[in-house]
Amino acid sequence: MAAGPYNYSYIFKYIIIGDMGVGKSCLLHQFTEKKFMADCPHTIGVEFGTRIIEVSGQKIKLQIWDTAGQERFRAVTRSYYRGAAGALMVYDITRRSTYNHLSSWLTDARNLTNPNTVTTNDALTNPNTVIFLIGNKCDLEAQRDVTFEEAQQFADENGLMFVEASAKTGNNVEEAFLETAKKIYQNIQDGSLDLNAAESGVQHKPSQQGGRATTLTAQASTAKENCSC
Amino acid sequence: MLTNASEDADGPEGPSMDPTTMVKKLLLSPERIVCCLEARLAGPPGLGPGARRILALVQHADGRQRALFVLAHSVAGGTEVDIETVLPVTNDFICGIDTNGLDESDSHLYVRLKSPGGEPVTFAFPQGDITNSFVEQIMMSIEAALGGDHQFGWVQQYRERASRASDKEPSQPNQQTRPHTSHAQSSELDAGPRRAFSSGAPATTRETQVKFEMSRKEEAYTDIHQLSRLHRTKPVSDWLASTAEPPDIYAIGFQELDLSKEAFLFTESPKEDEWLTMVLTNLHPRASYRRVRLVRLVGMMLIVLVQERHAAYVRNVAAECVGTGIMGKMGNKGGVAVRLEVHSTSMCFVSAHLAAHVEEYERRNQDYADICHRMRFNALVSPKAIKDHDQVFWLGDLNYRITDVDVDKVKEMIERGAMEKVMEADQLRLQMAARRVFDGFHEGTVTFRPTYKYDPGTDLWDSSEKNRAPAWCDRVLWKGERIRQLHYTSHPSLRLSDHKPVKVIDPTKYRKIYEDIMKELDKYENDSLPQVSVDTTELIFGTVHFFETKTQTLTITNTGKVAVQYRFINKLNDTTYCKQWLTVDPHFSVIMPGERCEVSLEVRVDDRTASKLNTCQEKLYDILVLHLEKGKDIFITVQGDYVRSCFGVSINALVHIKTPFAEVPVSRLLDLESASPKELTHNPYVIPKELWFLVDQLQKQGIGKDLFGQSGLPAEICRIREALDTTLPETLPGSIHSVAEALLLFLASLPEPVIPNSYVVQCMESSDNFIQSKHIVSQLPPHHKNVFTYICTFLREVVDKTPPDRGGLEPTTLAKIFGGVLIRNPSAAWQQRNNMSLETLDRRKTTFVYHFLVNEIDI
Ligand SMILES: Nc1nc2c(ncn2[C@@H]2O[C@H](COP(=O)(O)OP(=O)(O)OP(=O)(O)O)[C@@H](O)[C@H]2O)c(=O)[nH]1
Ligand SMILES: [Mg+2]
Repeated sequence: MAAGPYNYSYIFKYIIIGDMGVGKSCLLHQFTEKKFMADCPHTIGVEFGTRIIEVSGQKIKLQIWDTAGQERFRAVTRSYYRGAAGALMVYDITRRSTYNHLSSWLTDARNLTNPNTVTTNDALTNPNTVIFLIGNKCDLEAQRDVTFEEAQQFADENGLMFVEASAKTGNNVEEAFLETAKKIYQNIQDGSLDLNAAESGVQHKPSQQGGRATTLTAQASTAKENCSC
Repeated sequence: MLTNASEDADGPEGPSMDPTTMVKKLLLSPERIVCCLEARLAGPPGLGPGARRILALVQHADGRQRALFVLAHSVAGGTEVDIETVLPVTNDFICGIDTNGLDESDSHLYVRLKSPGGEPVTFAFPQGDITNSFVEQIMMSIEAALGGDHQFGWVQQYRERASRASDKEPSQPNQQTRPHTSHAQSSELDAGPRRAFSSGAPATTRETQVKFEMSRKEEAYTDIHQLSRLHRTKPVSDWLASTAEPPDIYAIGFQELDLSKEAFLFTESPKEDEWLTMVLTNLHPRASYRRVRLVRLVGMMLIVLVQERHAAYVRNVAAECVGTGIMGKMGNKGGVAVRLEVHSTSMCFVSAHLAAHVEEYERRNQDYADICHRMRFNALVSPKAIKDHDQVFWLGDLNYRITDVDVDKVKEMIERGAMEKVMEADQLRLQMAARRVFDGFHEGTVTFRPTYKYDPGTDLWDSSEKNRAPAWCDRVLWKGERIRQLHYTSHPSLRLSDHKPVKVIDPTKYRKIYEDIMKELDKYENDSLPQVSVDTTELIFGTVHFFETKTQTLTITNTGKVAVQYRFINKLNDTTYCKQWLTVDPHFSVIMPGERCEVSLEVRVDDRTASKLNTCQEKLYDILVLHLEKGKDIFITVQGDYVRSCFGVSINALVHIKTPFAEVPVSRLLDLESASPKELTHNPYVIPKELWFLVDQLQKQGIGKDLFGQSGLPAEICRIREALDTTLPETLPGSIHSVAEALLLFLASLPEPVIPNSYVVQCMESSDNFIQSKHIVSQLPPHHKNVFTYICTFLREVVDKTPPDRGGLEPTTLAKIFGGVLIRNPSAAWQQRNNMSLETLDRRKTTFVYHFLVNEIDI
């Protein structure tokens, strides 16, 4: 249980989205447990993971929501985007179809994380949610189906941060989660993320015991250490 | 800390050392002794107490869990003790006063202890405050405990020591130790105390026992009354106060009270207060009472009262009603219930009025099943069904009769007082024996005369030409632990109705201390996170027909360490957590660690949902979000294949369909249901043929048979639907009541009601005026007009041929039934604008239809 003994200044809510089988649950597990799950079942619902990290000397509790990627759940998982400070958007570098679907995931991430903000396709109108693109399974170089360059270009065009990573080797996993947090923290520092806004996805200084993120608008609020998928 | 200071003079072993000190030496540091005293094993009958033991209630380091340690002296009279056994105090640990084999000369208090899965063991305690507080502490620990002993890991090490100790050289048996209490037998880890402990029949003085019980105020007397068909309020002298001791709880059920037309048709009844006053003025004079709840549904009412002094211990009170009459909502039959918790015992009182008529026992069984199924106390934190209570009491006019015995023979046997003999022919007894109804319930021996049927206001059997057999219609049944019936009587002196009231007094024990489980859960909240597993995430129901009920179970197992509260939650933009054709029960609940919850998912397409499924605007497909409080969410997919049916197809489409409905291709149906159909027949039927089949059968076979007075059987309605969908039936299967209900369902399922929604406001505004009402009908679209006049003509015939004085329904009643299906309510916005309650709308719909049942229809 992370909440009790640790002192932290912020809770950030993240969501992980992307097609089924791209490795969302494995990325979360690698980040929280530093282990790879070779046969991870499909996520049928929404799972949680938490970890406390440090950014610029500040302890931050990440509360990460791992969603089901299956298309038939798409309408339901949309309920969970609201109020996320960070979105990790994942595709599988060995399956082009997962890359081709990114624009639809991106639309959801932009429109649903901050539903009260008027959005257009221009990323600048909605700077609140930090979106990080992850090309997963980069250990499978031989089966590569999407080049690094084209993905980098897609990220640049849409103002996303981007890495290729591997939930199997752990390569770049830590970085993706931490860089997202840094960017959010930076947004707080320079005032572009308004903590008082109901949908910021960030909670400042929780109370000591079992402090609950009142700014989190979706139903579940505390989180658990490990990904139990 | 408590120790037993009293000296046990009859012990030859010499002075006892302070037991607390001895026990303390054996405990590991984090454990704490709550209280500790010396006791003796209960000896064989008549021989008084046996060997000495020390009992210690020990609390674990977590501050919550407690276990009872039983210790024996290593050497008789010595200062060394060994742990003999350890009993975790879980919430199903049993601690009770043993009264077997009373022996006036024995001054000990005998207490029987039993841990789940273990053998009971009885100890003899010296009388006094120390013993009392010790027992009290155990009781409190039981109350505070959560279920299961799987969390008692810390106890294991002590148990291991216990088994090692018992392998040692047996201790010197002292003079009083019987051979069967020898240490030579090994303690079983789980069973706790040795089998031999329990073999003696213990004894205690009656006085001790009574004193102890009274001091703990453990007894609650529940006084249950059952009244039927009381038509007038008249002072009735002492029927509620016929015992010397005032009851702790009263439950008074009424049926068929105030069957005035107004009460039947509309839910407000001014008489309610009069009845309540009548009850209040007749309660036991030696105590004051507080009303817990009054609940009423048309003529059924249930009043529950408790003595003022218990009021503070009554919690979680809730009341619900279930109507089972025709279309399941008339409320002339059904049940009303009140549930409550007194200290830690949950009780549920159900006052019911089941279907009438001698031959209808199956319908009564069905009514019972319906009430059990539909009665849900949803206002509680975790919703409860009737069966979820420690104690359940049913009282009411259950309407079961005496069959297969000649009426005069029955009367003759009753005059001889051979009640139980007559009871052998009682439908309720027979149905219960066949486990078709009230499974697991008990009823007291019937010694009173039948409660039915008397000439109103007399003690004379029914003398009408029907010469009905007397019967015990009014009954009281119960289920649950620790219920003992004191009296089961009828009050022949009460002559207000054609039934006699029946009365039962039950004393039920309850424990003194109540700990709110939710409070315990709160404490646990931060200890760990909820974990559950579900046995499936996809429920596939296969083909589903109209009005057919299909049920599947989802098992949620709590695999974590804390209690889990689950709840099915709404998806974004939805206002309900599941589609209308699905029922999830319970849709939220609390599951204890290691326990599981069976959630039933029931699919049933009825009048509200059929039409959209027919035209494929909707599918039998839904994803439910199973949310764990403070945890993850799980998606549960539900799907089935709906078989389209003529129920839920519009009048305008049906008149163009001349083949059985099942033969119509989807494309043709979609075309007919569209705004401007391309393929219409040249000579459509005047009314849908299905409607004609239904009404024709009722006309031929139903007139004079209490038409619309009773509900149909779901299974028969399904067969009728099947016949209408797949054939052009000569006659429809099932009883006339099922056909009648099928007709109502058919009308209720129409996507556009017989009075189309665009005419509804006019109807509501001019319902008082027959001329205007007629004018509206004349303006209806042709086929709707045909259907309306056809139905009303038929209903007029029903009214003419079976007037109320010959057993038919009142025209107002028929009008109310049909008003509800022929006309639907105007929009909520309109209702609000015009400040119209549902009752007013109901009344207006009824009035509108009523005109056409009592006047010539010449449109
Ligand atoms: N080689 C390799 N395999 C991976 C990697 N990440 C995930 N996998 C495998 O890919 C499969 C799918 O991974 P998951 O984490 O379950 O995918 P998901 O995105 O959570 O899928 P859904 O829950 O259905 O949305 C699993 O069999 C993983 O073992 C990776 O980085 N390298
Ligand atoms: Mg997953």
